[in-house]
Amino acid sequence: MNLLNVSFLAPLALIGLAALAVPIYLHMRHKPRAESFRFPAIDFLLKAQKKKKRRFHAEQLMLMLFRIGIICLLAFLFARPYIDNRSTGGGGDTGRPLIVLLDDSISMMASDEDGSRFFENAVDQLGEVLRARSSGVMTRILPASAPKSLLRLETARQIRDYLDQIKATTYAVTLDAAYAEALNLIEAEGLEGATIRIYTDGSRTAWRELPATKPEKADVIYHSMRPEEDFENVAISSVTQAPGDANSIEVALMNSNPDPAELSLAVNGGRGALLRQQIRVVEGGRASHYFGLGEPVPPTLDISIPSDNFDLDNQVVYAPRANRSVHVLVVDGDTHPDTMRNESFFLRNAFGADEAERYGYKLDVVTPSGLTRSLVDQADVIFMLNVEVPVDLLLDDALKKGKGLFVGMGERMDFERWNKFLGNYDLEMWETARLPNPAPVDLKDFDHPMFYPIEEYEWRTYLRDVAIEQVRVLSLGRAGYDVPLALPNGSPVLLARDLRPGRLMVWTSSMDIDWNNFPLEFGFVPFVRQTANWLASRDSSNSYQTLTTNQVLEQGLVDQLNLKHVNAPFRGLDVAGPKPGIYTRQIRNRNQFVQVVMDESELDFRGFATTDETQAGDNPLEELGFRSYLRSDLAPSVQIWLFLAVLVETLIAARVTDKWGSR
Amino acid sequence: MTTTTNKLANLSPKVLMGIKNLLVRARTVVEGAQVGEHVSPFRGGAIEFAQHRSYSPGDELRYIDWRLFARTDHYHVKQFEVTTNLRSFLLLDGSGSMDYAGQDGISKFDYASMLAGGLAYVLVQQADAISLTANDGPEITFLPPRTQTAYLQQILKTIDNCKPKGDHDILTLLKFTQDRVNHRSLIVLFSDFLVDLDELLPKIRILKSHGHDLIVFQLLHPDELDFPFTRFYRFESMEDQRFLVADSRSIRNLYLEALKEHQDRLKGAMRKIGIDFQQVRIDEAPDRVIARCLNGPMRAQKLRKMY
Repeated sequence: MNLLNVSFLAPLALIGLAALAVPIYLHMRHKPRAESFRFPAIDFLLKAQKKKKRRFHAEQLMLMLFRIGIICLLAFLFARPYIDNRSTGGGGDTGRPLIVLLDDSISMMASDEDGSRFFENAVDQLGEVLRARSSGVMTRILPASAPKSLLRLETARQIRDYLDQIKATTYAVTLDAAYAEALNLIEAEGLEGATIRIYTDGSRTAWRELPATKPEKADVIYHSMRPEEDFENVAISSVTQAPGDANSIEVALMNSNPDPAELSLAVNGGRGALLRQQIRVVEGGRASHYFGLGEPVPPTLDISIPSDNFDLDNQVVYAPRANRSVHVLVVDGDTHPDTMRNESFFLRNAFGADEAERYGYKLDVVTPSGLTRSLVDQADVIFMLNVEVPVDLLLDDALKKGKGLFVGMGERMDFERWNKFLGNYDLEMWETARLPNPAPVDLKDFDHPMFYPIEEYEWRTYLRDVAIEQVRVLSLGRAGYDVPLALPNGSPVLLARDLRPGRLMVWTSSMDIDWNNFPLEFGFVPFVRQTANWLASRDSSNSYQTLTTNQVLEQGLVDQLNLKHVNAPFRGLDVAGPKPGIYTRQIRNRNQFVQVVMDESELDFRGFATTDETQAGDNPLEELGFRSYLRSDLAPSVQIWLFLAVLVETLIAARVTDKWGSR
Repeated sequence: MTTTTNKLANLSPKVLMGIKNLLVRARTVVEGAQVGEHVSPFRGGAIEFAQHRSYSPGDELRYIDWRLFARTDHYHVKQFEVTTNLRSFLLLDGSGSMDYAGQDGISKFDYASMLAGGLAYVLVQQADAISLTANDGPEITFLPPRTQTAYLQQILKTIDNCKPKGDHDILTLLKFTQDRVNHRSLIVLFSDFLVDLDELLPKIRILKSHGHDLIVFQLLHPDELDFPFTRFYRFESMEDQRFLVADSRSIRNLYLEALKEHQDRLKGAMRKIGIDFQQVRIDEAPDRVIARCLNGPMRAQKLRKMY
């Protein structure tokens, strides 16, 4: 064991050595605590003391040394020494070929107790190893994210010079590919007797599949950067819109600790809007919580949990979809004196009537004569309900501008004028058909995005008691119309077409209770709102997307994304790859929001001991013959010896002090 | 010898110190000494035979000369001439170190007082003249020799009033005595003799050379002899400003060595000079000490030689 190889995991603790001043000071001004005692035969004592004096001073000196020793050992103990007797490659093998597997996934940006990130530690350790090697020795480095990217570096010196340019990436990768590449290299280049050094965070998820055998021709040293104990990580694994409730979000947490976690989840909407929830997550498990957001919903939410060893997943910025209100223009052609016969009455109620804004809708209700271009320009969605004549120019324009148009049928519609307009969109009205019996409505195409995110069974419940009495028969041209809702005989009740830009929806019955009872059913409200959302391109599948960093990289979307908000922990963090946060992206003239999140495998820090594959405490890699990089955490006996030394020293010092100082 | 005094015999110094009156204490001590198996050689020893006279009732029977009775068939009582030239000088060291009492509360000085009182009592009973010389602070208290019984009271009262303090040790007393005592006398020294022997011994020799009979009591506290301390103390001198901070246990052996060296030298010198030297542990029963002194081989020999 070469003492020069002692390093410290917490070198700052060595500042404690400053406390050495204390025993030295005590020694300098030493006056033993002694009770006075009047004694007659002082002459003999003085005579005896002359001989004794030298020994007393020696004991004093010894006491000081013991005290110094205690402080030194304590500082040493707290500095957490470890002995890397393999930093030189297993003793004298610095001349052997070395292949370095560097896990550069984002999980390497977790930090240990003293706050330094695993990746920095790994690079430091690697730097030491490389410095111990002679410059020209064959050395390769394979980053996990792109194993072949740095093969042009062939010597220790080249890699050493390049080290500061290597960054961790947000790409979630496992070591499998790099390991396979390392084995290839050994085979291809005949590097027998090579050493493979693997620098990783030490979690099980760093491997998709654990190596089955140790390579015969190489020695593998496994540097696990995580501390074996005291590593804590609870992650915000996802934040999503709560299904069926635009004003709620669902926050999911994942606990990769071996112990249950009890923590406070905070949702901060800015301007003092702060929600807190105490959540318990079982060990190795998940928990989620719904937060109902107050009105108005803020544009972004900061969702955070207390910081832990991996702080990058403790804070997520989220843009709630409900925050962008939909401007709805309702043009009601029905002037029936009974409000119950007015389409706009039901529609207004479905949007929340006077409180529509609370639910994210701005509502304008006009009669056809009140329809103006400025109103159309402001609107996101136009509901034309039982209107006698379409205002062709305005509506065509609106559709071209990407607005949504909903056409509801009714007695008043002028077939000729409407057919002229609808003809542009491959539709033609034929007749109004009265059904012999009121017919229910079927979910014909549940995959249609307008239904998202409400579950199918819920929709079926919503539509269960709907009875259609009259529909307008339409003929469809070649253009592909979706038929989300239809009668049992297949004739469409709702037609939808994405015109790109612009969306068109035709409800072949009425939107009041003249031809059906739908407005009186409780499914009417979600139907109207989902319809408006889809028409306003607010449906999630197209306008709001959640992508993992891997998906962004693998689909080559990096260049298309414009950063809006980056998750707080990533601000100023020097990593490669897209940082999790909120981005916008232009797709077919529409602005799409993209929530970039970390890959879940990077959030799971469970070690080998906590997974089912192994017996508790076993590291299957060590069982394979991978040598573990020796650290104090792995050598508790070192700490026990240090502790015993402190104990013994303390006892001796206490004994000496007691002997001299007590009464 | 009454039952009471029997009971009082062999009492520990601690019990004796409970007796407030030094006279009573002294008498107790002496009576304790006399109930012992040894017979005091002082009895009559200091008195020279003068004449016979006819016995008359009331005379003590032990003074009847039985040989003369055998010859004459008459009771005659031996009469002795009281010697006037036997003077006893009690020298009581009142230096600070004599005040050491340890934990028992009986100081060497207290003990010395008892011994001195006891001896004074014996001597007065024998009609010897007794004198007291003691340190009383910087002054030296000197009571000239007298034979009156009542004088005993005064002597004892003076002893009682002495308070040991300061560094006025036995050397001053010896010097004082040397200057004043011209006649051959009995000089009894009570001291711990924790002094420089190089200064002490010449003075003793001088006294001896003047023909005085010296009885020397060295009184030492058990603490001084055994050094039973175990702790870390700041040892302070009882006579001056000297002190020593030391661990008792570590210094004990060296101390005992130094003490032994001193004692050996003192004893050796005393023996050489021919002085009745008594080393006294002050936890001994004082009556035993007096008995030992009065009956000791040296004293007996001396007395025979002297009287």
